[in-house]
Amino acid sequence: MSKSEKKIVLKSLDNEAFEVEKAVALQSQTIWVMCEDKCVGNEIPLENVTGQILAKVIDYCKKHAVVDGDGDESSEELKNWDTEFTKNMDQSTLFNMILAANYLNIKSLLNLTCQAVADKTKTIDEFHTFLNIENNFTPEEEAQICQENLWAFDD
Amino acid sequence: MSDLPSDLVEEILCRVPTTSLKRLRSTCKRWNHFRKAPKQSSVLMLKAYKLCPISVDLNVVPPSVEFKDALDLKFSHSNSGQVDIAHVFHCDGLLLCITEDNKPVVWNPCLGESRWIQHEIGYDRYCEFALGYDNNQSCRSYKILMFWNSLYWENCQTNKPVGRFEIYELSSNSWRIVNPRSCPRIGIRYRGVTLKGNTYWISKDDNEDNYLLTFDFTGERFKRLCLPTIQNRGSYMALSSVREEELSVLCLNSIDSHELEMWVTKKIDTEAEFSWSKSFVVDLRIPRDNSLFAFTSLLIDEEKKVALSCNSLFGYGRNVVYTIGEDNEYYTEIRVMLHNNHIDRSWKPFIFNYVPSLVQIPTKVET
Repeated sequence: MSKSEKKIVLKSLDNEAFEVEKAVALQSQTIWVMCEDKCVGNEIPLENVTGQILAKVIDYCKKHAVVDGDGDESSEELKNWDTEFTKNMDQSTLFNMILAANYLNIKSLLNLTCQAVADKTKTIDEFHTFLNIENNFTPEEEAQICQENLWAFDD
Repeated sequence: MSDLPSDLVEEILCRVPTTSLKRLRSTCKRWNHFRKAPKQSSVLMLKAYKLCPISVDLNVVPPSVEFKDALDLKFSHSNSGQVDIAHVFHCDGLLLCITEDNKPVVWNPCLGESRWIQHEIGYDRYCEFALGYDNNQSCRSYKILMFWNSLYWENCQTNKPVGRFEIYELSSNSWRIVNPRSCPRIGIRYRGVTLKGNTYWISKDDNEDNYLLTFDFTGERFKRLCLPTIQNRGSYMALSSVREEELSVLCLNSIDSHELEMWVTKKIDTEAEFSWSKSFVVDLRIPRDNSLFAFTSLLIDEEKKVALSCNSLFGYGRNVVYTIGEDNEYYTEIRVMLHNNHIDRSWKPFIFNYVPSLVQIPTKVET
């Protein structure tokens, strides 16, 4: 295999191009299918992902591809890396990462980012804001549900 | 701030800690349509007719165990409001509770939904129950198996239909008689546990040897499976379903043995593949009392090799649960305060994993 065949170019929504190892990119099921179908050349347009987000996704894939390849890093180190990776992302970045992971179909990244949002969102009001959920119960209905839900998992 | 598609919102919400679930659920009608529930599982114990959450701190050795306040169970259509639970079965976030007066009620604590299940000739204390689901259909069909245990000769003295098996389907709200094609001798002395829709019991055959009995809710038939290869006769075993992922069994080889062995299933999907592997062994190095030592047990953490258990005297004055673990081979007793010490109790202690789900109990039954 020549050098060029091992590499692949990913192009973001805002036309930023990233050259990556094929093994790195193929962690995305979506890209894998595109390559299998040979419906694209060596350059894959990703119309739903901005360059800023795509760069982060590639960072993640690079880290995980290396570990899967030669196994010189323990799963614990990888876990720590994952934690650091999402630690300083703001909510807006995290949401865009979730959308990208979903679109690119990278299961482990989707898990990681969804878990990060769940962990970071501590209060109900935050959920309302972040997830754009309206409290659409009437006060009577809410009281009724509280009455029904006498489930004592609460601390 | 964001407008994630609802399946992605669900992905996030199912990762929210269980403790926030109740409050979260009461914030949005959309919750009612979410299929996924929190992935966290918790440990519950049935003691003195009540379900108590237990928190186990594995960061210390031996682990610290704390009993939380009993769950306040209020079902609809119950006269007093409060219900005394004598037996409990868990499957996929649904609980089948058998009350002290032998009445079954299915309950999803997360959704606050419940349904009392009627039977034309009623129930008595010799009824055996199991809760499972049919895996064949696109959406799981939840079923209850019920029969009168032939181990109790009182059953033969009355006109109870011993040997008759009946199945209740949640979707149709009715009982029907089933005819399991082959049925090994059922000598169930302890309640069953459900894993992936099928129920498992430790049972004794005609030779008084233990074997693993299972009821397959999809094919509606019984099967006989193997137990771990230990010195079989006279051994004590407690079965548990670990986070709905695998079965575990705690074995004490014989009355003279000091060694407790914890076994877990490797594969359970087919009869041919069904097999066990030994997880850990704890040498108790203490004389045991004569009570059934591992009456109920739960493997809390497979990696740290920790289990929580209690013997059959729980509730009869020896009110301790114990933790065992491989590290330093500890055995630690934790005294449990019981408000009401029913000597002639009909409840039996049971420790199990509860994995929440958003499985609904339909109020309107399809006809």
